[in-house]
Parts: sequence; C-alpha cells; structure tokens
Amino acid sequence: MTKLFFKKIPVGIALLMLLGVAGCDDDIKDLSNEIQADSIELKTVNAETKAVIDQLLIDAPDAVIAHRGSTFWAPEETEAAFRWARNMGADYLEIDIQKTSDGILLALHDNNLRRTSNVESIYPGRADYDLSKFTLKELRALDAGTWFNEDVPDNARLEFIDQKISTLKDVLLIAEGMKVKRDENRNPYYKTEDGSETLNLEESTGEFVFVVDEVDNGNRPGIYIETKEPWRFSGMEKALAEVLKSNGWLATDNPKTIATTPGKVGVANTKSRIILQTFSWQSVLLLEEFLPNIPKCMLLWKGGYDNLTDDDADMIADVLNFSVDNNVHIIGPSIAGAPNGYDDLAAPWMNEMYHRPGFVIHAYSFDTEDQLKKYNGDYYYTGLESRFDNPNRTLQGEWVGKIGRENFIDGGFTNLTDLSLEYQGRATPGVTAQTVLEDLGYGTYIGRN
Amino acid sequence: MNKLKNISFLVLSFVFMCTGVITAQEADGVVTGEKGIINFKTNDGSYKWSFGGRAYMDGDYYMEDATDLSSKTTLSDVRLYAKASWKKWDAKINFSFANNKVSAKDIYLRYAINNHSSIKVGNFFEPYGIQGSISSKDTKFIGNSFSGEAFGIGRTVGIAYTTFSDRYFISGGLFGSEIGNTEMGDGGYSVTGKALYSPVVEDNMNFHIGASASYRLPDANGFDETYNDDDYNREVVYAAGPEDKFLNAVVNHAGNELKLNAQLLGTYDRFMVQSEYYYNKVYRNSNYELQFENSTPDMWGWPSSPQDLEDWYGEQRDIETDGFYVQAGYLLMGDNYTYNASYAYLKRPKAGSLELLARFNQTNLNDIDGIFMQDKFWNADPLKAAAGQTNYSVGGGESIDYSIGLNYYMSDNVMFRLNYTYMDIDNLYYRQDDNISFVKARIQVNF
Repeated sequence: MTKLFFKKIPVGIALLMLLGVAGCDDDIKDLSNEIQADSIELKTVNAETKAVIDQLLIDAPDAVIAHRGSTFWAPEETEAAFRWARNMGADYLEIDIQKTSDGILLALHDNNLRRTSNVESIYPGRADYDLSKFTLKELRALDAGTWFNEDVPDNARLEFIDQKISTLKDVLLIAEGMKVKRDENRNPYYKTEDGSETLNLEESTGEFVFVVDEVDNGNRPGIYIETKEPWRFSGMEKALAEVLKSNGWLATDNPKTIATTPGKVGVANTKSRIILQTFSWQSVLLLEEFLPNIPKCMLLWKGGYDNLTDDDADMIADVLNFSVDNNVHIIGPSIAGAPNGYDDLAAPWMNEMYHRPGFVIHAYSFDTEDQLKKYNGDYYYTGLESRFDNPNRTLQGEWVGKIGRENFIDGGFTNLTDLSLEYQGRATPGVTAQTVLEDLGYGTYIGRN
Repeated sequence: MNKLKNISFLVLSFVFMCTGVITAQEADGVVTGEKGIINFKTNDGSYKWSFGGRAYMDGDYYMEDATDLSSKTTLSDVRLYAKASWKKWDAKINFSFANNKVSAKDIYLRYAINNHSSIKVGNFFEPYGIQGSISSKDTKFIGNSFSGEAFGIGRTVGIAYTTFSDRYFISGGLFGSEIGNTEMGDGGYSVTGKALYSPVVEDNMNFHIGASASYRLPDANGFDETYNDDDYNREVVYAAGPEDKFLNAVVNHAGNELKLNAQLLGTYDRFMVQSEYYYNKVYRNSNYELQFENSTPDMWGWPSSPQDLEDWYGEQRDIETDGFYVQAGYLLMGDNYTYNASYAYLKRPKAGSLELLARFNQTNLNDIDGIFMQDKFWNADPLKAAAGQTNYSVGGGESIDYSIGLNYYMSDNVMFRLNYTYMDIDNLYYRQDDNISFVKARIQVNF
C-alpha cells in the first residue's frame, strides 16, 4: 500500500503543476480605485479642526467662491472683477497672493505679468520678471484690463481699460462695500506719504484711496486666499497674518464687526470670513503656524511635485492623512470639463474619501452647467433631475460604490458666480451678470454685437 | 533567438568535436555511463570528458491578495554542459537556455594543487553563504529562500582559491563584473571569502558553522557622455519573491557594499537543519552635482552653496538590510543525510528518498528614516519635507514567509518537488497586499 502511494507521488505532483495552467483570479482583491478606496484606512480630523469645519458649514454652506473675482465677465483680480462678484452675491472672493519688492501683498495669479497686463510695453525687458521684482508703484502703472477686452471680446467693456492690479487690502475693502475713489475720467486717487490724495501716481505711495461704494448692494463676502510655494515669497504666511490682523479680518484675533444686511451675503462677519488655500505642503505647515484655526484648504493637482503624484487611492490617502495631521479643513480638487480640461479629482469615490476624515470639499473651477450638475450629483438622481429644476430631488442612481451625499462636493470655485447661484436657487430675479456690471459703472459694451 | 541558435550551435559543435576526438582515440579509450551522464576517458585515465544537462519543468499557482501574479507553467531552466579533465586540470562550460534566453553559467578552468585545494578561474559562484554557493539542483526547496535570493551573490568572473578537509572549508577570491553586464561604464569588483569549521564529523552526524564576507563595488550602470562619467549610477539591487514585486530594493548612488553571512548546517541521521543570516550595507557615494545636473528641469532654483544640494536631496546615508532563514528536512524514506566536504553541502539523497521540509524566513529590505508620501521618501522633518527636500531611504519591503516542501527523488536523474509558501508582506509600494500564498511544483531532470 505504501509503495503504491509513493509511486503515485510523481503523478500527483505533475497534476499539481497543471494548477499553474489553470490560474485563477477569483480570489484577488479588486484594485479598481472605486473599490480599493473603501478599504483604505484614513485618519480623522481632531476635535479642534472639526469645530472649525462645523462652523464653516454653518457660515458658508454650498459656498460659491468667485474664482479671481471672475475670469469670464471681467479682468481677473481687478477692482471690476471683485466688485462684480460681490454685488453678484458670491460667498467668497478668491485671490492668489504674491508680494512686491516693497513687501505689499498683491492679488495676482500668474508668476509674471505678461498675460494680464501691458508690462511688455511699460517695462521693456522685464515682462517675465517675477512680481517680487517690482514695487507697488511700478505695478500700479500697468493696465491690467485691456488684455481682457482683447482676449474675451464678447465681454469687452470700455471701463475695463486701465483697471489696476489689486492689493490684498483693496480686496478686503471691496468686500466691505468700498470702491476705489476715481475722478470723472475714471483715474484713481492715490494716497501720499502725508495722508493727502493725489491723481499723480509718482507723487503717491501707490496705495488707492477708497470710498463707500454707492452701488454696493449689501453683500459682504469672505475672502478665499491662495498662498504660493513659500520659496517664491519667503515670509508670506507671517505677512498675511499681519495684514489680516491689522485690517480686522483675522477671526481668531480681535476681528472687527462688519455690518451685514439680512438676506444678503454675510460671510465677512463670520468666523469663516477668511479661508486659506494652497497647493503647497510647506505652505500648509506655515499657515498652520501663523494662522491656526483659520479654515485651510488643501488644493489638489494631479502631477504636482509636492502635491498629488497620481490619482490613485493610495496617493490620495497620503495627502488626506497629511491634511489631517496638519489641521486642514477643506480639500480642493480639480474638476474635469471645458474650458480648462483639468484632471478629474472629484469623482464620486474620491469625494467619499475626502469626506471620510471629516473634510469639506470645495472643487475648482466651474464654468458650465454640465460641471455643476455632474459634481453636485445631478446625474445620480431620479430622472437626471437637476437642482436647477428641483432642489429636493431624490437621490438615486447606479454606481459601483454606495451612493450618497458624501460622493459629491460641498462648494466650488466658479468663474460664473451668476450661474452657480442660479444652480443653487439663490439668484435674484431680473439680476444678471450684465445688469450688475452696468449698475457698477462698467456699462459701455465694446465687444462684438 | 539568433543568439540562442548561435550559442546552441557552439555548444553542439563542441560536443561533436569532443566526440570526434574520442572516436579517433576509440581504440585507446573507453566510454562509460554513470547516473545517466556519458563519460569518455582515455585508457590511462589521464583525459576525461563528460556531457550532460538538466531541465526544470515548473508549475506555479498563486493565491494573491491584491496585485495579480502570473500562475503558469514554465521551463524555468534548461542546461547543457561539457566537462573535461586532464592531469591536475579540469574545465567546465555550462549554458542555460531557460525562457528562450541564453545565459552563461559555470565556465571555468581549475587547477588542483592537491586533493584538497585548488585554484579556479572563470565564471562561477563566489564563495558566499550556503544558498549563494550551491547549485539550484541541490537546494532543498524550489529556489532559495527569499533572503538567499535577495542577498546571495551568484556567479561572477574571477579567480578563487579553495582548500578543505573534513573539518574545515576555506575559499576566497577576487572577482570582477557579472558576465551578463553589457552596460557601458566601469565594471565593479569584489573580494569574497568563506570559512567553515566542522566541530562534529561522524558517520551519522555532521555539523558546521561558518561565516562569509564580501566587499564589493557594483558595476556602473552606463556611461554619461555629457559629463564623461564612467562611474555612472552604480546601484545595488536586492530582489526576491514572486516576480520580484514585494521584495525589491534599488539602492542608487551606491559606492561600496559590504556583505556578511553567518551559516550553520547540521545533519543527524535522517534529519537536517540549515540556517543563514545575511547582513548588507551599501555605502552611499555622494554625487550631488551630477544628480542636480540630471534633474535640473525638475528643480526650482540654483544652489548657492554645495550644502544646498545636500539640503535639497537629503543626506545620502548608508543603507542596511538583512534577513535570515532556518530550514529543516527529514527523510521519510531513504538513508541518512551525507555531507560533501569539498562542496560544503549535502549530497543528493539516493534514489527512492522522500524528503519533508519546513522553512521560516524573514527578509527586511526597508531602511527608512524619512516621510513616505506619493511613492517617494521625503526628509524626516515635516517642514523640510514639505519644502520638497527628499530622502535617501529605501523601502524595498519586508516579508516573513513560512514554507513546507516535499521532495521525491525518483531516480538519480529525476526528482519531483512540491512547495507551499505563505508570505506576509509589508511593502509601502504595495499597500493593498497583506499576504499571499503559492504552490510550486517542479519536475527536475538531470543527466
């Protein structure tokens, strides 16, 4: 019997070898991100961070964040764009801050002035210089509006010509219902060293004189401030804290009361009046150091050297755990679709991951109805109902994961505040982007008819 | 394929040529066969030739966790060899044709100083450890332990002296590049030695302990024409396990490498035990300037001092890895284990033996002191990490695996092997994989 058994061993082993031929995948975990994401353990925000998040959801639910004021209706990050966004009803005016050579914090997106000003003609040979190579007075000499009329001829307006680059302080004042004081030819008044006013830039400090905006409609938006990589502007986070504090906008340190109007946007007078955002890990740490307990948004960009290498669940988990460790409150993913064609970092499974630690999601940047519907979950509701049509639509749809509110965003950066408000049912009847522009004095349309 | 054909032709030509020589001398020679291997020798015994080969037919079946592994049948090794000896000299040429690729194995010339010492020159195993020095046909399991696979040295071109008795075995040599290294740039070198002592040498019992060491410079990985750099990108790679996925450490910017090994091997009647510990240290070679030049498009600034580069890239600290295994065997059928002092390992059990095996193995290819994010290591200081400062940690993975095996030596030429392994995985790059298990079977033919 034993002999027979051992004689069979070779046959048995040969048969087992054939297992290799069979192969079998049934026991393998599904590595598709939708499934994998469910099994990834994520850290959870601490109580202090959660308190800030909870307050944010009270102060600015469904946040409509006016991306650079607007890139569609007015020259970005100028007085015109910010006044328009304020009067339109945005919850936040979004800006990118940089620092001039004389230490003034300015609102500008690009690394240089070439795209959004006439720097090439005013300062020949310096067009590609970083903003930190210019003083405020030098920058005030630039026309930051004409380029827009040329780039977006459908929305060109005479009054955009010679719009100026804005400082952080300018934006705070616009949010408070102010505007730049101008003469009858729209030339701005500047402050001088002795506190007087002048129309002559050369004689001034470069700082605008502000007056109450007579067409301000009472909206008091907050400010959503992006800091760049700290190596570009050393000490930016500390300087930002000082400017916000000195202007009474630092919610954690004796903030001033900003009068609000019932029925109007009033974020400027809440604890969430300022939100900080950055793509930079380093800036997250510095913002936490100098501006603790101010809401912070970790922006996500696929392919970023120190951001998100790839859009798989493990990489996302890394950034989320980092964000938890450093008291981030909001995740800011990019969205797909025209005109930007960014990577889709706000897919339903990703949003579920962002929400799981307790974060709020503010995605960027919305330009179309389709994007609003897609990332707010309209395509997962019965009959493809849109919130445009039925704010109380019933959640229903097919997806590989569980479907729920957690799969969609909480707010978004938009270039069309008007469209986002309409989507949320917050638009004022009869008020359009154009009527707001006309009310604000930007009524001379010089675009294509 | 042409290469395969050419080499095959060469080997066959060599065989036929030798056959021709024998034929011509047939009147003065004899042809014998022993254990399926054809031997030719002259009547006076002063010249001998032998020819043989082997084939491994494998089946692998993986029960994966997350990452898919390829269950399949393969011809994992096919060999042809020729050996010749005359007076105090002998030579061997051995090629592998596994997976339709030709690779040179033992190719050496050896001179026997006496019956217990010799000098060998050519391509052969460096004298390092147990699993790094014995043929795959003699390993107890199918393949080496993962530690042995990762840290063993294998064959290189060199010269070595070996002497042994039933009480000791000493071997050492000087070696150059791997024979398969076709990269431009300067080749590496190594000094490797092994010393064993057997305090117990009895008919039914044998026990040896020993140590090996190797000090090495890895081969350059190419040549940088821009910087006229023939010292380009030396790296040490430790890889083992299924498809080299879960245990895989690439230590770049390598300078020298120190490898240490401790071993023991014991037999008692039908029982054997074998264990090795491996320790490896790679000394990093700072070349920040070259690294900076090669990565300039990714950088955001220009160094204002040499220290800047170290601050950006991190300290090129040395990397330490280690591993050990212990395995035991019992011959359910067959005679006692026997020890071959000249080989410093066990002889093949006789035909009809049935061998039961068990092994525990731990392999650590992680040497981490930085922050791991986005599949990269960053400075351990969060502020520096967030500023983009990288780190030279190595996260090759860590595993603990348990194996059992069964070998049936059907004849002197044919054996059947069956292994089962459970592998616990900790690898930062395969975070979804916690453990895998697999069955391997092999039909092994030697002639």
